[in-house]
Parts: sequence; structure tokens; C-alpha cells
Amino acid sequence: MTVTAEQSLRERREAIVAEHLAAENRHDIEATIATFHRARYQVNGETSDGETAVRELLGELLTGFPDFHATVEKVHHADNAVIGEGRITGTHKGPFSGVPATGRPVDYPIVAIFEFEEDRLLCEKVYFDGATILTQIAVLPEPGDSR
Amino acid sequence: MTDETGTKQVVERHFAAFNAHDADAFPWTEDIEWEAPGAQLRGREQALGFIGTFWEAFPDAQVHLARLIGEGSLLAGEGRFTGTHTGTMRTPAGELPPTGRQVDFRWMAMYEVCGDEFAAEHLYFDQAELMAQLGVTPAPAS
Repeated sequence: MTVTAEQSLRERREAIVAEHLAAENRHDIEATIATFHRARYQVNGETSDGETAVRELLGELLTGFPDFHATVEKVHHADNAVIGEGRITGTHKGPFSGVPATGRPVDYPIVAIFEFEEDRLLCEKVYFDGATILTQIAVLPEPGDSR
Repeated sequence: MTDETGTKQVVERHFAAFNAHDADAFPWTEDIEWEAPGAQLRGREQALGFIGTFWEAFPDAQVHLARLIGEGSLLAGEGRFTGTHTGTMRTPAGELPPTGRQVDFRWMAMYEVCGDEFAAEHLYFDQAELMAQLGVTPAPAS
């Protein structure tokens, strides 16, 4: 691939990632799905493959945290991926993972790999610490708390 | 500028050091920036403290790099951690005596390479998954 073609491909990928994040942050599940060539998430290794599974995944997330917001600070390119570290914030106002709403805020670091084939988004892989969320919504005690 | 082959070699030395449980062999800068679930650490000593808790809890601890991507001085690795919990697990929330259980969990890490060393590692994994594998069920906080 020429340098210009590679540059152009990277710009298209960044634009798709930006559009994807914007749709997530507008809580527009259909627009989020539309940024994928095939809708697929992998969250800490758990795969949600296809539109139905992705609708369910995002629906649960937005029910649990109706003000869900993801930020990815800086993206980096790899051969077939765009990688970004960021944070997710929200308020636990609905049931999440079997835990009834606590009204508590969450704020946790994430890393995301957006897998591409050419300019087609094939998967968003996300890693984060579930225990951090459980601590923030008080399911787990704070470190050092001997309860 | 770090060349591609050199960068990959640094990653290989990092994994070899972890798997040999050889603290002195980690190719890290003295003031490495180290982030992991629940930990924002600075410097070799603190980072080794974090690694050391895993070596102590899992004397057969091994990490397996499944994929390395990225370019220049910034790389991302994905892999698994395996080990048998035959040592004491020291956590900020207390000590967990050996359970004898085997664990196998996924992680992802971002590495910033400076020359032939890591200047930063940001490690991501799900401690809740690790706790579940150890049979420690999150108890509701009252």
C-alpha cells in the first residue's frame, strides 16, 4: 500500500471510531450498530456477536447507567486495528449485572481495540476491571475496609 | 526511534522475566509508570511489588502473549495468565490463603518502549473474574 493510501485508510478508520463512540454516547444503539460491518463486541473476553446480541448488551448497559459516557483519549494505529485507552463514566440508576440501582457514580479506565479489515469495523474489544465497578457500586468493599 | 525488531525483543525479555520469576531481568526503566486494576504505581520497586504478589500467590504463574500489535514505541499485547493458587494472595482487601484452584484469565496491556526498556505499562484485566475463579464470591457490602 502506498503511504497516501495507508494514510487515507487510517483517517477513514479514525472517522469510523469517532462516529461509533459518538453514537454510543448519544445512546443511539442502532447508529452504533450501523458503524460496524458486522456488529460484534468482546467485553473482557465475553463475545456478543450479531445485531441481536449487541442490542441486548448495549441495552443492559444503558439501563444500568442511563448517563453512560465513554471517552477515548488518544487512538493509536496498528495493522488491522485502532487502539485507544479511555474511561467510562455513568450513574448506576438501573439494574446492572443483577444488582439493583444504587444511584452511585462509576468512573473506570478501559482499553479498546477496534478491529478492522480495510475500513470495515469488525469488532470492538474492551478490557476493564469489573471489580472496580463492583466496588464503586458498593457490591464489593473498598480496599482496606475489613467488612 | 525504536526499531520494530528491537521493540519486539524488549517485549520478549519482559515475558521471559515474568515467566522465570526473575525480578532483576525485567527490562524496565527505574521510574516505570505502572498502572493496573486498582493500582497506579511509579518506579521499578512498586511495580515489582505488584508482580510479586502474583508470584507469591501463584508460584507457577505464567503469562502467555497471544497477540502483539502496534507500532513505533507504543504496543498493545493481549494474552492470558495461568497459575495455581498454592500461595497466599495478598490484596488491599486482605489475605486469601491458598485455595489450590487453577486460574486462567485474559489481560491486555499497553507498553511504551523507550530504547531497550519499558517506560510504561498499563495492564487491564478483570479482578472480578479472578476472584470468581478463586471461588471468592463478591459479598454484598452492607
